This record gives sequence, structure tokens and C-alpha cells, in this order.
Amino acid sequence: MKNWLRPIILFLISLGTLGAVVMISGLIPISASSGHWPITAWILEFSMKRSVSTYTLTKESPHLEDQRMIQRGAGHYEIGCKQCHGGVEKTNIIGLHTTPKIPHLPPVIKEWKPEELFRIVKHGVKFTGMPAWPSLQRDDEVWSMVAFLLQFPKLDWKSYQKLVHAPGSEKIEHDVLRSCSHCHGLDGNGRQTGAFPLLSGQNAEYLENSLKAYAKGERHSGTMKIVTYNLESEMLKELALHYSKQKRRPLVKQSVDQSAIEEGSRLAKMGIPEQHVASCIGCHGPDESGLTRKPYFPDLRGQPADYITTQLDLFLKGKRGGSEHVQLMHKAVHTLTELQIKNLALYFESLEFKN
Amino acid sequence: MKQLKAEFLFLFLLISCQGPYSALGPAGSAARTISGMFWWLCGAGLAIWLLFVALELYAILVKPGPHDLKKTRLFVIGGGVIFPVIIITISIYFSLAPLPDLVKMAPKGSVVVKVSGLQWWWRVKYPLANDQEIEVANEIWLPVNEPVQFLLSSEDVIHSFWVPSLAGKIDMIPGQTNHLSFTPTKTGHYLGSCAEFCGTSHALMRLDVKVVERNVFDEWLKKQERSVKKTGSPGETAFVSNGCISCHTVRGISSLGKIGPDLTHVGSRRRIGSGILNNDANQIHRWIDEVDLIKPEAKMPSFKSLPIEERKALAKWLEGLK
Ligand code: HEC
Ligand code: HEC
Ligand code: HEC
Ligand code: HEC
Ligand SMILES: [Cu+2]
Repeated sequence: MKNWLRPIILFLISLGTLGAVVMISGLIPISASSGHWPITAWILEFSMKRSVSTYTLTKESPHLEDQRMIQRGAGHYEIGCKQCHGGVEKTNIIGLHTTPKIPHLPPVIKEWKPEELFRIVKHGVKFTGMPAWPSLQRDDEVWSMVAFLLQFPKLDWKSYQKLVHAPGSEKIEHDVLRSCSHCHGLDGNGRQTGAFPLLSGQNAEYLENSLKAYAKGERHSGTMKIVTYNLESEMLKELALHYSKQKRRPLVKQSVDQSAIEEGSRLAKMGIPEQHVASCIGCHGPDESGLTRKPYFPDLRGQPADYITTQLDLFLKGKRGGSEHVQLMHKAVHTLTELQIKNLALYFESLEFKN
Repeated sequence: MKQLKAEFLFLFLLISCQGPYSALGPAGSAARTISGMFWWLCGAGLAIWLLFVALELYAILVKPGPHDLKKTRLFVIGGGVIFPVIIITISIYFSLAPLPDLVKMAPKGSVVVKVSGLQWWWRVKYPLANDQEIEVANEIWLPVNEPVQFLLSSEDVIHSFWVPSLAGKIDMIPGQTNHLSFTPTKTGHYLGSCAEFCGTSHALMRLDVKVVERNVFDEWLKKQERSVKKTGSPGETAFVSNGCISCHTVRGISSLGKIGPDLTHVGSRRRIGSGILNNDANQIHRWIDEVDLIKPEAKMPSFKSLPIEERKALAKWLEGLK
């Protein structure tokens, strides 16, 4: 062995032994109360910022001013983020006593680009307790959250409350129903903006199947997963029944594109044989001849076009998931184009839901 | 042809290739031309082979040693260049000569059959006098001794229409109609298949062809024309309420479905699944349960998620659609 190598090796061995002794002795405090040493804090923060920046080099953000996205993001914030990050004015109390401290978001949002927020919210941050999005299959939900975060600094307490709670939902006594109502309203008619699917009058069997699929992670939605994950199947059944019995209030529509609706109507009836797309109403109804369909098919009448579009996009990408019946849908629609999806969505939205 | 066959002893083995799926048992004008050509080529090939062996034996056994250079040169040029050119020209002539017959249109008033290939089944349409069309699937009936006009196309990828006993294969190409006409000459049941690789279940894309007397054909066509009467039976109800009608037409019940085979008279077909399963309630039940296993990637979803009574009722009802 070379002479100069010996002392180096000896030094490394003693260093390792010392480290092991210190670790095993338990002298190092892992307590959150003492916080990080400044150098550790700096290294963690610096590497987090670098990593977020590097991983978003090629990402582009979609249009983020849509009121419906903001509403969905806000609803999720209220049930999935607020317990750590707090409300409009300050962070939650637990956030003051963790290491690292949980940041109060409104003041720090402007430090990040939208795609960086996307990265943080979707994948979380290691060693800090900042969790990843509950379902990684789809990005649209995360973008909705980003849309909300960008508005967050502009909100005061009142406007925040208005954004996250459907009117009257605070007064509901049933704990679970109250939480659902923030987004869906007590009567399942949503917020009248088209941000949320309408549940009122929907087939109970379909609703129950969907809730179970969300809870099991078989239908992918971070938002719906966190609200269903802990619920017993009896409770899911009860909720499904509750919403299926509610009266539908039609959406208020801003504009009506008659030619798109007519085209959508044609496609929905006849399917698109040259693209091997089946007739939608063959499964979903409504059928003028009065023949009824099984209640495991969702009734699409009056459902917001925005929601139908999102679901069809997910179907085409193979990211929709759903109940055990969902494979029927996959074989029937896998070749739809963007324009066809838009027309179909507008058509179903335009149909009157008869209670 | 019969005598010719007997001469080629070694070909006896091939005689077992007779049957509903053989190009050597022709039952149509076009197939006869093709099999005739086959035998002539075989015969000529054999004759040339014998000649060649004889010359070899001559050179080895009868007259070994060097030959006259001039004569051999004549032999090489004559036997190696001139003779093959003549033979090949003759065979090209004889193989091209029947082509116009195969693609020429059948006389006006002949039976017309439109067939299109889809992954992995056959849509079959019979135009009627009143501008209507009768749609059936996976089974073609033809009257014997009458010319028939096929119009062949595809609705997705390239397929190839081949019923060896009746005619040669012709590609089915999306966006194009290919013509094929011939006269079936023997009643009987023949088999066809797709002869151009078209995806995962290409090998499971078969076809039944029945050649029958004119009156039997008329009766069959009339029956196919009929609609189903609504009875409200459990099978019929299940067919509608589970959305089978989104892909399948059963005339009289619903005509929404266009992307799957017409099932109005599915019970009358010899087989189901485009010629791969026997047509009885058990096999239809199996098909509904596990299409994905029987025919990988078929464009029909399995319906195993339905209650067993409904699947049974569906199978029974479909079997009864004669
Ligand atoms: C379990 C507590 C917890 C929950 C729940 C939580 N976070 Fe965090 N979050 C943290 C912590 C801790 C950090 C600090 C990370 C760091 O210091 O690098 C953080 C950081 C962030 C940041 C980066 C802010 C910055 O400047 O460092 C954003 C943005 C964020 N969270 C958004 C969200 C959103 C949106 C949700 C809800 C989907 C959420 N968080 C849920 C704990 C939480
Ligand atoms: C934070 C807002 C929010 C809350 C709270 C919420 N939902 Fe939802 N819900 C959504 C969104 C967004 C979707 C659409 C999800 C998707 O794209 O799959 C949805 C979808 C659903 C669906 C599927 C509808 C369909 O047509 O397929 C059902 C059923 C449902 N929610 C029931 C509930 C119930 C029951 C609760 C309470 C336990 C609840 N939701 C709480 C936002 C919410
Ligand atoms: C073979 C039957 C079938 C056909 C045909 C069919 N669907 Fe579906 N579809 C279903 C089933 C079953 C579901 C429910 C999946 C689940 O349980 O998760 C569904 C779900 C949907 C949903 C999601 C609804 C919601 O509330 O989340 C939309 C949107 C939809 N279908 C649109 C269409 C359109 C548009 C067509 C025609 C192009 C079509 N479907 C054709 C069977 C079908
Ligand atoms: C998404 C469209 C679709 C739906 C929905 C559908 N099928 Fe099919 N079906 C097909 C296609 C495509 C084929 C042809 C498959 C092949 O042979 O490759 C087929 C073939 C069949 C066959 C065999 C037909 C024959 O002549 O060989 C039967 C029987 C059948 N389906 C019954 C049903 C029943 C019963 C239902 C409802 C429970 C149903 N199908 C729902 C698309 C569909
Ligand atoms: Cu093929």
C-alpha cells in the first residue's frame, strides 16, 4: 500500500466509527421544536427550489383564469390543504410547530411560477410533510388547484368563504353531507357554474358505484378520493340515495351554440360508424321509444358540458377508471376527436332533465 | 382434370385437400380456372423435371466424359435461355388470360352481394329491387349456377376476401370497391377466411358460404328480410336495457347500432363470432361472458358484470332469432 494512503484510510475509519457512536447513543435531537440548523435549512430549501425549477423547465401552464377551475381548486383547498396551510389570514396552528414550518401560502405564491406550483402540488416535497396529490393519473385537478392558488392572495375572508361554500351548506347537520355540500350543494345541483357534476336525480346505482370506485382509487380523482376514502360502504350508499332523490335544477346557460348541439345530437344517436364509435344513447338514453336502460348507466342529460368534456378526455387517455361497468365505455368511444367531444358535450348539456 | 390427376401419383396426398375449404375442389367458375391453372403448371413442371433428370442420367451414366463444346453451348443457350423464356411467356399468358373474366361485371340482374371487412368480421349486404338493403353478417348465401357480383371493401384496414373453393382471393381496401364475379357450380357449404393480416384476431376472421338451389335462396332471403316481433321477453329487455343496441341492430327492436354485426337473425347462422363458435345458447353465453378471451381485442366488451340470469336470457333469446 502506498504510504500516503494509510493515514487517509485511518482517518475515514475513525470518522465513520465516531458517527456511528453518536447516532447509536441517541444524542442528536430529532425534535421538531428545535428546528433545523441554519445550514440544513438552507441546503433543504435550496435543493427543493432547484429541483422544482429543473423539473418544470419544459412544462407549460394551461389557461388558469377559468372560474370553474378556481372553484374546484378552492373546494379542494378547504378540505385537503387548509388543515396544514390555514385560511386567508394565517397558517394553521400545527404549522407553527413543525420542522420545517408550514408556510402560510398567500404571501409566498408570487415567488413561484404556475408550473412550479403545479410540480409542488402534484408531487409534494420530501422531508417536509407536504403531501403529493392523492391521484397522480390526471393533471387537470392539479391545474385547478394552481388556478385557485394564484387567486388566493387576492381573497379576503368573506370572498374565500363565498368561493368554497355553496350557500346554506354550513347549516347542514349531517357531517358528511355538509362536507359534500360545499361543492355539490345539499340538493346535488352543484354551484350553478358547471364546475361540479350534477348529482340530483342521477341513478342511485351509478352514484354508489362511482363513490365506491373513488374510494378504492379505481376512478381517479384526488378531490373525490379524500372525501370518500374513509367512509363506510353503508354511508356511500346512503349518500348516493340522498342525491338520487333530489330534484334537478337546470344549469343557467350563458350561450347556446345551436349548430354544435344539432351535430352532437346526430352523433349521439347514430354513433360514428366510420370511427367505430357506438351510439351513445343506445347505452345512456334518452330514448324516444321509451325503452329504459339499466341504472348503472349514468344519465347524461343536463350535465355540464365542461364536465362531460373532461370525462371523455380522460376516457380517451385511459385515465377515467370507474365501476366494473366502465369497460363498456372504453370500447365504445376510444376514437372521438376533440370537436366531436365538444359537440356531444354541448348536446347532452342542452337536454332537459325530467325529474 | 380427373385423368390428369391420376397420372401424378405423388399428388395423391393432396387429394385429402378436398373439402369445404380447398382450392383443389373447385365449386365455382373462378375457382375452376384457378385449379385448372394449378394442374397445368404442376404437369408442365413435372414434365420439365423429368426431362432434366433424364438429361442428368444421360450425362452421368450413358455418356460420361467431355462433350463437344459447340453442341453443349447450343444446349446451354437453348435450354437455359430460350426454353424458359418460351415456357414463362406461355404461363404468363395463361395466368393473365382468365383475369378479365374474374373482374368483369356479372350480367345485369345477377345477385349482388356487398361485403366489407372489419376487424374481425364481415358485414354482408344484399341490395333489393326496391333500393333497400338487407344486412346480415359472417354468412353468405348464393344461388347455384347463377353469376354473382361481389362488391368488396373495407371499413378499417386492408383485409382479403378468400373462399378457396369458389374463387381466388381479392383484397378489401378502405375507400375502394373491388369487383369479383363468378358462378358457383355446386351446391354445398364452403368456408372462407381473411387472407391479409389485419391485426390480433386476423386468424379468427372466418366466413361461411352456402350455395343452394334458387328457391331455397329466395326463401332464405325473404326470411332475413323479416323483422323481429317485440315480445317483451327477459332476453329482449336485457338486450335493450344493457345497451347491446348501441352497437347491434335487431330490426323490429332497435336500429341504432351500426358498429357490430346485425343480429336480427343471428340464430339462423351456422356459427357465431365470424365462424369460430358453434351457434347454440351455451356458446353465445360464453361469447357474452368473455369475448376478450375468445377473440383478443375484439371490438365488443365482455359483459360478465351482468347478473347470470340476464346473460342466460340474452343467450336464449339470441339463439331463438332464427
Ligand atoms: C400535512 C400538512 C400539509 C398538507 C395537508 C399540505 N401541505 Fe403544502 N406544505 C406543507 C409543508 C410542510 C410545506 C413546506 C415545504 C418546504 O418547506 O419545502 C408545504 C409547502 C407547500 C407549498 C410551497 C410553498 C413554499 O413557498 O414553500 C405549496 C404551494 C403547498 N404546500 C400547497 C399545498 C396544497 C395546494 C395543499 C393541498 C392539496 C397542501 N399544500 C397540503 C405541508 C402540507
Ligand atoms: C371539493 C369539492 C367536492 C367535494 C367536497 C365533494 N365532491 Fe364529489 N365531485 C367533485 C368533483 C370535482 C367531481 C368530478 C370528479 C371527476 O372528475 O371524476 C365530483 C364527482 C362526484 C361524483 C361522480 C359524479 C358523476 O356523475 O360521475 C359523485 C357521485 C360525487 N362527487 C359525490 C360526492 C359526495 C357523496 C361527496 C361527499 C362525501 C362529495 N362528492 C364531495 C367535487 C367534490
Ligand atoms: C356500451 C355502452 C356505452 C356506450 C355505447 C356509451 N357509453 Fe358512456 N358510459 C357507459 C358506462 C357503463 C358508463 C359508466 C362508467 C362507470 O360506471 O364508471 C359511462 C360513462 C360515461 C360518462 C361519464 C359520466 C359521468 O357522470 O362521469 C360520459 C360523459 C359518457 N359515458 C359519455 C358517452 C358518450 C358521449 C357516448 C357516445 C359517443 C357514450 N358514452 C357511449 C356506457 C356506454
Ligand atoms: C361496443 C359495441 C358492442 C356492444 C355494446 C355489444 N357488442 Fe356484440 N359485437 C360487437 C362487435 C364489434 C362484434 C363482432 C366481433 C368480432 O367478431 O370480431 C360483436 C359480435 C357479437 C355476437 C356474434 C355475432 C355473429 O354473428 O357472429 C353476438 C352474439 C353479440 N355480439 C352479442 C352481444 C350482446 C348480447 C351484447 C349486449 C350484452 C353486445 N353484443 C354488445 C360489438 C358490440
Ligand atoms: Cu385479416
